[in-house]
Order: sequence, then structure tokens, then C-alpha cells
Amino acid sequence: MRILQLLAALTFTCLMLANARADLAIIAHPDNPLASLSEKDVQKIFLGRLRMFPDSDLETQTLDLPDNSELYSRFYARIAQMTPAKVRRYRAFYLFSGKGKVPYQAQNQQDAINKVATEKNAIGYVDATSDLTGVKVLLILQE
Amino acid sequence: MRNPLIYLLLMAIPCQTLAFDDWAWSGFASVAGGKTNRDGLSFKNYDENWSFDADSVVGLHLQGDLLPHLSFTAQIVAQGYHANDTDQYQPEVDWLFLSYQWSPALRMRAGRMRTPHYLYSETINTGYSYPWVRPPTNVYTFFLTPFYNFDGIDLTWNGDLGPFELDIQVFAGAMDGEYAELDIKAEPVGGANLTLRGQQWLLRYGLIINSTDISSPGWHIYQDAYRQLALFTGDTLFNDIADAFEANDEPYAYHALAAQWEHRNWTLLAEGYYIDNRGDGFANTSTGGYASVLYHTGNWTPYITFGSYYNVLNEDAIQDLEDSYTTYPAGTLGPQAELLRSGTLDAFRSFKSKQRSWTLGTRYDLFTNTAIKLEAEYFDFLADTTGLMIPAPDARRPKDAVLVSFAIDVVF
Repeated sequence: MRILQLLAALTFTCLMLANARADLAIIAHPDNPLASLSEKDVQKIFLGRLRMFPDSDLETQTLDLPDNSELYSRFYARIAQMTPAKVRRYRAFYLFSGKGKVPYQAQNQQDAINKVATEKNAIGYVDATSDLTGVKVLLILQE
Repeated sequence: MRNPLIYLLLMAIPCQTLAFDDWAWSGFASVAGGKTNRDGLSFKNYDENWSFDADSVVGLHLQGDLLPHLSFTAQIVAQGYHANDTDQYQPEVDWLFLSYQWSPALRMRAGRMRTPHYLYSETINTGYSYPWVRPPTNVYTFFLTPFYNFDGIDLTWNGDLGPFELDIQVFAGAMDGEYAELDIKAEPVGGANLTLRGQQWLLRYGLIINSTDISSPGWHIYQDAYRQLALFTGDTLFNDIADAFEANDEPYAYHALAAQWEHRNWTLLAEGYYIDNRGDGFANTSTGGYASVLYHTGNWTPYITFGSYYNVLNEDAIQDLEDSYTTYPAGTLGPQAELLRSGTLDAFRSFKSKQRSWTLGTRYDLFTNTAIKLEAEYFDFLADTTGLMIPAPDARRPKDAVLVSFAIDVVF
């Protein structure tokens, strides 16, 4: 009985933790030629050092969530160990030194999913528990 | 006249391909002010009175896609400090290029670009992109302003090197500018940058080689006078001195090293450069470096920077002039020639500068697109020079000076 209680408590705790920090899904258009992406490539794409999907002829169009959102902070902390303030400085450096485009900013996760579902070269990141019909998941960043 | 290539580039934008979604305007601006604590010494446009024209700048940036893999970028900048006083706040084209992405790893750009001398050279006008009021002046000296842009091409390759990333940039083109009374041209210009990147650090080495022409119409009479002196005395030493008044296809080499390391809330940044020219003409040898420690806490980034700078012009010609006094003691060449000789020696020596500096300051990120910075830089002048500060004629030459300055930087 005690073991069952303990198991129930553990499961509950795990669920709570999972709820608090859901995994991040890296999503792309269903026609994207890639089946998966490495975390390193995701970092390079979102920092603008890789402007085309690896081993493809397809340019990347990155999509950011609003920079005051929790997912934005978590995403850049995870892939580049960068705080939002550091990302902003980096973007200014990147853009105004003529290195390339900065990401489009989606209004929210649903907007990001909709844009990725319609733009062939788009790539974005959303909560992995979202409804991801119409997009292809290239990587799950487990928390 | 700048390279006509850039005008062709402007005309190359096919208007019918302009799809609104693929084009974006953005921009940046800085309002900055500062003053020194010494009369008769100036640094950029700063002097003993508050000035707002040294680091204030506004820029507009346009970027768009023309065709798959082909994009267009233009940036127009108006800044308060200019090597020529008459060009203050005149809009200038800093960037204007077409970019072609050959493959995921390889990109080519052609047009006008910022010369990638150092880590922050390409965004020196975008205050928001760096932590300080201005990038450390011991390395980012204003003498480089004529060389800020080049017209030409560059190739950038990015790849993995084991667990690290390697960026290789090679470029070639031409530069053309003015500094005070000097006409400066560098053609051809070639260079390469290697950047090795780990998760929390980067190392960069840059090399630029210029074939440089430097001349000033006002100096021709002095050159002619020295050539006459060479004829009159039969001593070629005076021809060597005449040669030092201009550079003709002189090879100048610029070496630069940078290192950046980030750990938790700390950032350590260090850069150094070495400019080498030992040709027969107008010669310049210069070294400089800095190390900056930054601490990030909330919206605050306090920093401390130490740097040093050394620059000497026409070192060999100074030696020749000094030697000439052994062969022709003072008073033996006639009054006009004596005046020429002592005046030249004073002038060449006056371009020598040596200094150290310490900077204490902080950046505060006020809004997501606005940063405020405040700093004080203490200049310690060495070797009887006034370092990077320029003394007014007959002004006292102090041993040190302090420059306090602030900046409000926005991006939009």
C-alpha cells in the first residue's frame, strides 16, 4: 500500500514537473526535406550561422516567439546559453553587420505553428504538447 | 569618387521583384555626450566643454530577398564624428551589397562593406550591439576611419572543426578615404579572418594587406625643398626624407587577434593589433590592445577595461633627420633649410603617441531596444606625447586626462 502511495506521489510529482517544463518541439513545414536536425544545427540556424537547411537547397526562415515569453527564454538558454538581453545584443550585432536576416516574430505559439505550416522554409520552436498537426517535428528538446 | 560598382548595385534592384514580406527596414541611433577635464586637448569631438557630436549617430538599414539565395542589403549612416569636419551628420553609404548563398556553408557578398578589422568593426556605429559607450579606443582608433569601408567582394565559409566551429572570411577590394588633409587610397586590399568558436569562447585572427597611397597637396613644397637640398648637398639622405612625405603603393599589413570567454555572469574580451609598414615612403607602425571584464546582473552590465596604444609615424625619416645633424650640424644649411629641417622633425615627432587607459563604466538595458551607458576613461600619456588626444597648438601638454561620456543607444 505504501509503495503504491509512493508511486502515486512520484507519478504526480513527475507530471507536475513535466507540466512546468514541457519539452520544446522544433518544427518545420511538412515538405521540408530533412527528417531530423541536431541540436547543434538548431543553434546554428537560430543564431544565423547556418542560413540553409543542412545538405539541402532550402534557405531557412526562422520564427521567434515573443521575446518576453517564457518559451523564448528557455529556448535560447537551452540552445545557446543566452539570456534574452544577450540575444537582443547578438541580433543587433548580426543584423547591422550585414550578416543576414533576423527571425520573424510570431505573435504566439499558434501563430508560429500556422506560419510554419504554410511557409516552406520556416522553422520554429513551440511547446511539444501543442497540437502539431500540419507541421513536421525535426527535433524534441527534452527538458 | 568611390567605386562606381555601388551605383550599379543600386540600379540593380529589380522593382518588380519587391515582395513586401521579404523586405524589412530597421535602424539604430545613439545620442552620446562627453567632456574631458583638460583645456586644449581633444578626443574625437570631445574637449573641455560638453559635446554631443562625437559618438552620436543614426542609421537606416534595408534588407530584402531578390531571388532564391540572392539578397540585397543597404545601410545609410550619418554620424557626428567624421575625419573631415565638413561631413558631420552627412548621410553616407556604409553597406550596399548583394549576397549570394551558394550552399549551407558558403556565402558570397559583393558591393560596399565595412572592413572587418576587429571584432566590433562592422557594428562600430551600432552602439546597442556592444557593452561600452564606444569600442575601446586603444584598438578602435579613429585613425582607421578612412578605412572603415571597402568596395569589393567577400566569401564566408562556416563549418565544424571537431567539437568547434570555424568561420573563414576572405575578402578583396579597394578603399578610398580622407583623413584631415591627407588623401588615402588602398588598392588592392586583401584580407582574411579566421574565427574558432567553442560553446563559451571564441578566438579570432585577422590579417589585412593593403597597397596604400597617402599624399597631401600641402606637403609637395616640402618634398620639393628636400629634393633640392639633396641636389645641393649631393646627399641622398634628403631624398629619403622627401620620400617620407607620401606613400606610393606601400604595403601595409594589419594583424589583429581577439579572444572572448564567457562564464556564468562574466565575459572577458581582449583584442590586440599590430600594423606594420617599413617601406621607403610615409610609414606607420602601430600596436594597441585592450582587455575588458564585464559582469552581467539583471539589466546592468558594469565593466572595467584596460588598454594601451603606441603609434609612430616615419620612424626611419625621424632617424634620418636626427642623423643629418651629425653630418650637417645645426646652422650649416642656411636659414630656410634649417627651418625646414627642424619643422619637419617636430612635425614627424608630434605624430608619435603612446598611452595607457583604464575605463570604468556600466551599461543598463532600459527597454528591450534601449540601452544607457555611462563611463569614465582615464588616459595616462606616455613618452612625452598626448596619446590619442590631440593638443591645440601651444596648449599645455598634461600627463593625463579623464574623459567622461554617456550614450543612449536604441535599435528599431
